[in-house]
Amino acid sequence: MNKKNILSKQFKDYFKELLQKEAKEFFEWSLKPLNSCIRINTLKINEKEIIERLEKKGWVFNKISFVPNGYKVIEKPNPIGKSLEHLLGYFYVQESASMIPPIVLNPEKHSIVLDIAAAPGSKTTSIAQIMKNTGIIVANEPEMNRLRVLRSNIQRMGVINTIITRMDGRSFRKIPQKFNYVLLDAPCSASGTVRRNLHIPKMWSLKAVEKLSKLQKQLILSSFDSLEQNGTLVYSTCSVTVEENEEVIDFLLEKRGTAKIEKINLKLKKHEPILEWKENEFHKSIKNALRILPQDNDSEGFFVCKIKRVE
Amino acid sequence: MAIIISRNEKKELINYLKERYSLEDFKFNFDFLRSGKEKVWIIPPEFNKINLDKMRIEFVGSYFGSYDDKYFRLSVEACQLIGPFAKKNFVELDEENLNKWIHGKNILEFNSINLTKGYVLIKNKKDFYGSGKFTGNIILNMLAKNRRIKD
Ligand SMILES: C[S@@+](CC[C@H](N)C(=O)[O-])C[C@H]1O[C@@H](n2cnc3c(N)ncnc32)[C@H](O)[C@@H]1O
Repeated sequence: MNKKNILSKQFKDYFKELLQKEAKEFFEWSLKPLNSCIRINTLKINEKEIIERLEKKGWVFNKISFVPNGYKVIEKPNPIGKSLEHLLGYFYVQESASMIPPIVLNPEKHSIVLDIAAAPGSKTTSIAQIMKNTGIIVANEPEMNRLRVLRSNIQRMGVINTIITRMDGRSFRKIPQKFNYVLLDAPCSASGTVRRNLHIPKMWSLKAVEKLSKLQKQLILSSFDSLEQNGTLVYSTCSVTVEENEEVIDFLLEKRGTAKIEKINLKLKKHEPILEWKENEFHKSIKNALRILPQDNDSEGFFVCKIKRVE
Repeated sequence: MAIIISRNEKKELINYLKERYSLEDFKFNFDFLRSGKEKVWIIPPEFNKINLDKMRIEFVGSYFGSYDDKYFRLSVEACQLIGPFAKKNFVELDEENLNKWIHGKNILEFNSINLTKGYVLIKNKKDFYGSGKFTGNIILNMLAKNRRIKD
């Protein structure tokens, strides 16, 4: 593919307006190849042991500094999917930025968790790992084909504590069960993931972003209303548009007075969240969210926000 | 329709597995769910903590294995759970045979001392790769396609 033509005009225009001087760097990084990353599955294997074992076979890793159990793959002897250790469920292939939301959610052992948009299960399996297979995770996915992949990943990773449901996430607010923690890793325009999928900009449009933003707003209300008092919600997307992130959080804060944003304490490079955009001014506390561009940590772009339900 | 298996059925299954693999120290501290006549799942241990009203459930817990006539075939994950405790009916494969196994091929040459007909655990060093049906001569490979390595 000729790299020059990958970024569509619409995509470029949007991010030029949003990022201004930094747009050029964002475009450059969006076209740089991305190393694979893996998360060691401590439900099945000791981290040190598996890393030493893979290194003996010729793998070379850099430890990812901002999440536990994460490694960037610098060299590998053959394709990851062909390795015995992958087959055995000793690790999961997952982009480093995508490892952040479960760490921010950080559910306690024995809690009741809802992962409302769960397939293919990168974050469900990570949450199970944090909870050491205790408690319950309701992993929801409306699309059957994606649900099958979710199921097989949950199985391969040795996760026992899940119930897989197939529902529209918007209907969770109506169920009687309330949750200690909810993760909404929302369907999005994936504008932060061009490095992984160079077709994204071609499919990307402002119209789609607006449509997704509407869905995300409905989903965040449903997610928040599924929390019990003092419960924690983490909202994340692999997009870096304002409509899909800050605007969605602002909408929740408008609609629910008991929603309060909490600061995320992770040592990594990040960008300031956007507090003013196209005549809109957003709630000041949104500055505590995490906005990551590909150039910050040599990852995908991501947005993560931690919200508490206070009474 | 999935049902939580009765106390008697659970006891029978556990006794069968304990006997077959000589599992003295393994603790079966979980319950099982069965769908249809054959397939058995491990239920999340804290399953009763949650109100399932109005949820559309597709799957629960982890696939444990299935009844096969008078035998029981353990899933890869079930083998990994109980494997380290097994004292019999497991086969140590060398690298060549392991390579056959993960490609879905039957195993024809192996040390069959201490094996009895039925499902045997497939092992290489510390790793367990599921179970195969020992017929008396060969080990039949029934690994699901998504648990094999594709070329
Ligand atoms: C970004 S992906 C989730 C990735 C997943 N959390 C992971 O880490 O592996 C978003 C998911 O939301 C699902 N989805 C789309 N519409 C939905 C809805 N109305 N309710 C719940 N999930 C939805 C999509 O099918 C997709 O699988």
